[in-house]
Amino acid sequence: MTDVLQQILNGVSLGSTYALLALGLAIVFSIVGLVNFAHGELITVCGYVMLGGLALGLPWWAFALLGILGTMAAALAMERLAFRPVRNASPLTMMLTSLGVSIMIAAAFETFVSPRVKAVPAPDWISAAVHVGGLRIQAEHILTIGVTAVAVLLLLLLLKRTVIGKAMRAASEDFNAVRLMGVKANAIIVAAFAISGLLAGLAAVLILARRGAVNPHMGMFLGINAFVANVIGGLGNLWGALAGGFALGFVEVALRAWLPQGMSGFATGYVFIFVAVALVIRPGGLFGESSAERV
Amino acid sequence: MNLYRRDLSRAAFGAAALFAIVAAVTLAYASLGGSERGVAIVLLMNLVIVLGLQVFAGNSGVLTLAHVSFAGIGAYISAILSTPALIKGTLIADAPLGLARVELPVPLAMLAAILLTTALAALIGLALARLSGISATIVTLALVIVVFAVLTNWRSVTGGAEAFYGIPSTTTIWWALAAVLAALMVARLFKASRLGLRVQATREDAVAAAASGVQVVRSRYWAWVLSCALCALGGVLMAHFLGAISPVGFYFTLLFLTLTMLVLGGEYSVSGAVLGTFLVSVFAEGARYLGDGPVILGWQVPALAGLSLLVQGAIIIVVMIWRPSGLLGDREIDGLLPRRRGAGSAVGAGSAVGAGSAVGGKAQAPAPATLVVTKASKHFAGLAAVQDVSLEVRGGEIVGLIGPNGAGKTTLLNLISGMYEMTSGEVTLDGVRLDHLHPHQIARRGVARTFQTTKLFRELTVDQNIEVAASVARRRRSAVARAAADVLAQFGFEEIAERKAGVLPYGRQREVEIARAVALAPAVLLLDEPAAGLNDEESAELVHVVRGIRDQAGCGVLLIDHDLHFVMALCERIYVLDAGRVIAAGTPAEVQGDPLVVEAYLGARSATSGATARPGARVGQPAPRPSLAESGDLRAGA
Repeated sequence: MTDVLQQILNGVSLGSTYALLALGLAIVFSIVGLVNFAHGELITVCGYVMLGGLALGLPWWAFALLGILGTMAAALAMERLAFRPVRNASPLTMMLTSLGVSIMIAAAFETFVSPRVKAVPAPDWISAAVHVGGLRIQAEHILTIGVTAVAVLLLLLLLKRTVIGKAMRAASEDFNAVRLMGVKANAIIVAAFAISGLLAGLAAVLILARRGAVNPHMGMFLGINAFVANVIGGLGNLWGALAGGFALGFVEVALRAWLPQGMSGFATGYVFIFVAVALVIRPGGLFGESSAERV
Repeated sequence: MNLYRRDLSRAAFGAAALFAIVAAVTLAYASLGGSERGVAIVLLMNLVIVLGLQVFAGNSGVLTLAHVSFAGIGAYISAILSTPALIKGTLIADAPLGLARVELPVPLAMLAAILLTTALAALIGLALARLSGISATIVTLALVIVVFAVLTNWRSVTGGAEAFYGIPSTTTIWWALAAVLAALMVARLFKASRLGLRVQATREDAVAAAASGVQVVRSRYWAWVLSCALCALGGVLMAHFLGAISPVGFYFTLLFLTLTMLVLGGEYSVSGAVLGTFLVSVFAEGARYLGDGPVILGWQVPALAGLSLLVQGAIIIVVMIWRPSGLLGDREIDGLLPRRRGAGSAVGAGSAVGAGSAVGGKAQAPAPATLVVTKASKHFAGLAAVQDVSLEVRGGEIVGLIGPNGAGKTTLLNLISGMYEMTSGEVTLDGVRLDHLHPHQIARRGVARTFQTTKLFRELTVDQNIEVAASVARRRRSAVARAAADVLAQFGFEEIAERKAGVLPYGRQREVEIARAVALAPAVLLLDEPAAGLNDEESAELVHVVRGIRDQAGCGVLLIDHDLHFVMALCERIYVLDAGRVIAAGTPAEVQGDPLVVEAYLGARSATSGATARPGARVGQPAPRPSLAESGDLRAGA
C-alpha cells in the first residue's frame, strides 16, 4: 500500500514537470499553430545558464532565477529570430523551422561548451526527506508540486482576469478576429512565448534540481515527452496538456517501478507504444474532440 | 498520344539522367582514393534513404520521421541473417529460433531483410496511414524511439547497444549505384504514376481528393509501404558496407542528416532529393574537416564537436525562412525537356466539339440516373441544420437550391456527398443507397461536387487536377487520357493545361474545379455557389457552361447560388430552403410567387405588403440567425 502511495507521489511529481512543459507548448500551439520542436531545448538553455551562474560563484537560488530569466529570453529570441519570419507559412514549414532551431541549440552547446555532461549541483535541502508512515516525502517533491500548482493557478488568473490573457484566449479561437478588435498580434504572440519560456524555465530548474547535471541533448527527450503529453491531451488544449503531462508521469513511474528486471530498458518504448496506439484509436487525442469530418 | 505513357517515359528519362549525373560525380570522386571512395558510398546509401523519405513525405506532404528506423531494422535483420556463426556465438549466442547459427549468403539475407522490413512497415502502415499532419509526425517520432529502445534492449537478438560486428562487407560502389538507380526509378516513376498523383492530390487537399474519388488512406498507405521498402534497401546496404552497426547509427544523427538533405533540395522533387543529398554531404564533409581541428596555414583550428549538426540546423532554418519548398520546389530534371502537347488534346478537341454524344465510351457517360433525398436530417449538437428535407434530381435536369444564409444548403450538399454523416434520412442514386458510404465511394458512384470556397490541388497543373478525377472513373490508361483531353477541350483549357491551378485567376479556378468534377463522368453534379464572386459576364458564360455539361454528359445538376438571376435563368426546378426545411419547390415562376419564399427572403412585413422578390436582385445577407451549419466550411484533415 505504501509502495503504491510512494509511486503515486513520484508520479505526481514527475507529471508536474511534464505538465509545465506541456502547458507552455500548448499555449504557443493554440495561438500560433506552431508545434515547437525546440521547446525541450529551453530546458537545455536553462541548464547552461545555471552552469554559468555556478561558475560565477552565485548561490543556487540566484542562478536558478537567472536560469528562468534566461529561458524566457531564449523563448523570445526564438520567436523573434526564427518563428516570426515563418509565422504565416504552413504548419509543416513552422514545424521544420523549430526542428532546425532545436538541432542548432543542442549543437551550439556541444560545439562551444562541451559535448560532455557538466554538474550543476542542487543544494542539499532538496534531497532532505520526511517519513510519514512508510512514505518518504522529499523536499523536491513538495517544491515540484507546489511550484506547479502556483504556476497553473497564476496562469489561470492571467488568462481569465487580464486583458492580455483574454486576448490570448480569444486569439486561440480566431486570431484574425482579435486583430480586427485592435489587439496587436505581436503582443499576443510575444506574451505566449514569454509564458511558455517561463513555464519551461520553472520545469527546467525542478528537473535540474533532480538530476544535478546538464548535457547538450538533455532537452530533446523532455521536449518529446512534452509533445506526447500534448498529443495525449489533444493538441492545443490547455487542460488536456495538463492532464496529459500527469498521465505520462504516472505511466512512466508505474512502468519503471513494476516492469520486471531486465525489461525496464523497454520502459520508454512502452510509453511511446501506448501513445501511438492511443493516437491511432483517437486521432484527436484522448481528451480532444474526434474530428467530425470524414475523408 | 497517351498523356500517361508520355509522362511516365519522361519521368523514366529524368531518373536516368539523374542517375548519370550521380554516377559520374561519385565515381570521379571515388577514384581519388580509399577514403573518398568510402565517402562516395556513404553518400549513395544516404541518397537511397532520402529517396525513400521523399516517396512518402514528398508526395503526401505528411512529415514522417521513421525512415531511419526502417533502415535500421533492415540493417539489423540482414546482419543477423548473414554474419558468420562463429562471431554470433560470442555476440548473440542465446538468440531464439537458432538465429545464432543461421548463415545466409549476403544477397539472400539482404532480400529477406528488405521483405521482412517492408512487411513490418505494411503492418504499421495500417494504423499510420489513417493519421494526418502533426499526429503522423509525432507517432513516427515515437516509433523512432521505440525501435531504438528495442534494438538497444533486445540483447539476445541484436547484441544490445554495443556494435554488432563481423557483418560481411560486400557493399561496393557498384552495389550502391545499382541501388540508387533502382531508388531513383521507383521514386520518379511513382511521382508520375496514377497512384502517385492521387497521393499528391491528398497532400494538396484531402477533402477535395476524397470528393474526386481518391481513397485518401489507401493511396497514402501504398506510398508508405514503398517508402519504407526503399529505406530498408538503404539500411541493408549500410550494414554490409560498415561491417559493424549499432542502434545509435540509425537514430537522430542520421534522421537529421537525411531530413536536411530532403528539405534543402525540395521535398516535392526527386531531383531535389539528389541535389540536397550532394549539397548537404559537401557541407557535412567540410564541417567534419573543420570540426576535427585541422591545421590551416599553420593555425591550429580548435576541435568543434557539433559543427556538422550546427550547420544542418542552420540549413533547415534558412531554407524554411527563404524557400520553404526547397531549392527546386517540385521541379524535376525532366522538366527541361521540351513539352509537346501532341495528338492527345487534338483528338480530344475533335470528339468534344462534336454533337453531344457520349464523351469517350461506356464507362464515361453513365445512363442518366435519379438522385433522391428522402427526409434527410442533420443535427449539430441539438441544432437542426437540415430537417426532413426530401428532394429529387432527375437525369439531365438542372435543379436549383436557394435560401437565405444558414438555411442548410451547403450542409445538405455535404450530406449527399458524404462529408457529413446524416442524423437520419436516406440518399439514393437510381435506388442504390448512398448514405453511410464514404465521400470517395459516393464520388465513384457518380455524384461529383464542387465547393463553396474552391478546393483545388493548387500545386498540381490543371491537367493533373483533371487527370486525378478522370483516372478514378476509368481503368484503361488510354481512356483516362482521352477523357482528360476531352474535358480540357470542352472547357477551353488547352492553353493553361500545364499551369499550376493555384496561380490561375479566380474565375478560372472555379472553372477548373467544375471541370475536375465533370472529369469524374458524374451522373449527378453538385455545384456549391458556382457563380459566387464572378462578374455578370462570367455568370452569363457559366450558364452556358453548365447547360453544356448537362447536354453533353446527360447528367443531373443540383446547384446552390445566391445570384437569383443566375439561378432563375439556368434551373428548370427550384427548391427553397429556410431554417433547414424545404419551404417551397417548383418552377422558377412558381417559386418566385410563393409568399413563404418572399417572407424568407425579405422578412414578414414585406410579404404581407405584397412585395415580390425581384429575380434580378442578388440576395444580400438577411437578418442574422444561428448559422452553425453554414459555418461548417470544410477543413482538410491534413
